[in-house]
Amino acid sequence: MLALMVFGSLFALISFTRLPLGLVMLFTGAGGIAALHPRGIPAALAISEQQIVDLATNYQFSVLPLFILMGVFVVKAGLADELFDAATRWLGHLPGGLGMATIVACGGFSALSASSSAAAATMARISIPAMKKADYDEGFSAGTVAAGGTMGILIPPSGALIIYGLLTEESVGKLFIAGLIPGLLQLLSYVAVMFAVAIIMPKWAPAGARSTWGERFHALSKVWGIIFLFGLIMVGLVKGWFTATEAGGIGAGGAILFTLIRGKLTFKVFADSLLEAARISTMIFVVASGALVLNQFVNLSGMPGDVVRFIQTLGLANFTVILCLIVFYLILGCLMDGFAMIFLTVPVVVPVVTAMGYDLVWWGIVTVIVVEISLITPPVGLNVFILKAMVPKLPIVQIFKGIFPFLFADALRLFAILLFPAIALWLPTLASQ
Amino acid sequence: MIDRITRLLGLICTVISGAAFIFMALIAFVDSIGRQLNKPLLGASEYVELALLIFFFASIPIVYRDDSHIRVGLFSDLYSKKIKRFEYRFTGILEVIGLSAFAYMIFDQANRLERFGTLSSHFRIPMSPFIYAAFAMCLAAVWFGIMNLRKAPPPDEEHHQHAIPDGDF
Repeated sequence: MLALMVFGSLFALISFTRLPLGLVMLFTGAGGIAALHPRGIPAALAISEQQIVDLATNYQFSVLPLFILMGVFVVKAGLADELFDAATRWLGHLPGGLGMATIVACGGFSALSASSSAAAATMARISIPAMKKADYDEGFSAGTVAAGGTMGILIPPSGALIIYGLLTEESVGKLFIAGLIPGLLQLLSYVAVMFAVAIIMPKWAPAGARSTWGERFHALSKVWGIIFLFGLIMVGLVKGWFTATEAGGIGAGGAILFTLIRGKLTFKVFADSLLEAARISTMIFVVASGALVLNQFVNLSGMPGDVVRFIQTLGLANFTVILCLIVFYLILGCLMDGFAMIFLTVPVVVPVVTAMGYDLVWWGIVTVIVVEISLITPPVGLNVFILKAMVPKLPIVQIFKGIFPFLFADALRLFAILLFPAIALWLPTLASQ
Repeated sequence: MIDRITRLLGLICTVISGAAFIFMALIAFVDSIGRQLNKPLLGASEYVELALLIFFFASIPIVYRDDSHIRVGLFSDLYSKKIKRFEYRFTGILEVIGLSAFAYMIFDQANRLERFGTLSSHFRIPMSPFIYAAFAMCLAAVWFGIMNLRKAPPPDEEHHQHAIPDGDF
């Protein structure tokens, strides 16, 4: 009953007011602990304070600001433009080539950024004018960027996987490795969708001019650092050369060095990048603090055990429960931001998944894919809003129309990972051998 | 006078946050390279932890100053202009109260660590001064929260979309 009251007031406060999510989670969680604990408010204060300070001094959590800094550097130094140029030189002449280049550049950008919104906003600024010039359908080109941007949340380094790892105490390195194949699968399926649409609806995505081999290699030479950095981080994680936190150090330091070598490191770029990364990291820190306090309340209340017992009384097969959870996430994703969804649901859902004997690394990847889908589903699709803000004259319905083919590919990919968990788990298993 | 204090506080927090961030990134980078060469930096994880603490708390006032929070507000966009204005003020006041309580919690923790004489694990230095510093930065965040109350509610078209902060997130 108390758990229902706490979660009821939490949802009421975040839905009817615009109070910061982190503060609401912190105080509803602390309130719940005070009501449950025999020592009342002093115990709630002690537990909450300890959680906040522990998180602020958590060595593992330093991976988040470090990877965010790496991504921000890539944007501020204009390296994303060069990534798009290289992809266009190599793919632009194919049917839907510019769209494919957008998707590949989104994937490349995602490999250096922990955020999908950053990927969507950056690539929209770069690729939408180019696609408009090449007579692409406006809704489809916006849909391509919105969908392509979602790769930022899955392809490592991923902010969502770091948060999931923090809440479930799973290894962030293992989660990153697990996200690699599903991320590549997403990239390839989106390229295939683009090619299919260009064949079926040639007016939506016409082929562009062919670049010479010299132009292609020249463009590629400008992005060697990005490819090298991502390759180094992933090979290092898979081979066990370094932990996720160390990879964060290499990523942030490497991005600064690369920007310096390319002659793009001005004081303004440096200062703006630090400020931007500080803002994004701390915004997540505030919510993560609240989520950890709420997590303590959830554990103290015995709520996960009650939910598991309730599900057992229904007599459902385990896989049916998983499907129900995914439907729940998809519905919630239509109404709520992806990060908020992870913070709010993981403490309750993960014990249920654990009790059924599923692997938490696999579930982490499934959760992030569902969150990815939520970024482009109506009515609350964060990436769609970003595209709408950047192309204000384009009706939002047109963007959703352009997203539809990619949603189809997403649904197929989700089912593939549900039916064949090895897609996500093969690489982490290989790495741990 | 108030504007000068606000600007100065913003500048101090930005400089502390930036310095802690650079220090943390540098230590993490040097340590990760050193480990590959079997020469890890002694106490690197503790340097990173303390820098992370200072970085996060120095950045909280910046988040408040720039209003970069994750917010949900599922129904708040549906309110009439009058209710929106009321909700904006109401939320602002609650935020300041909540943030003050948050600052008190950090003070209380610093006090507790001082009483227990808690030391860091590697360098064996007292933890409480760091947490008191974190408390001071929370007070700066409360200041920015109060300053935000002085601002007029944003016009409708500038009202945040659901959960979209102001930055490039």
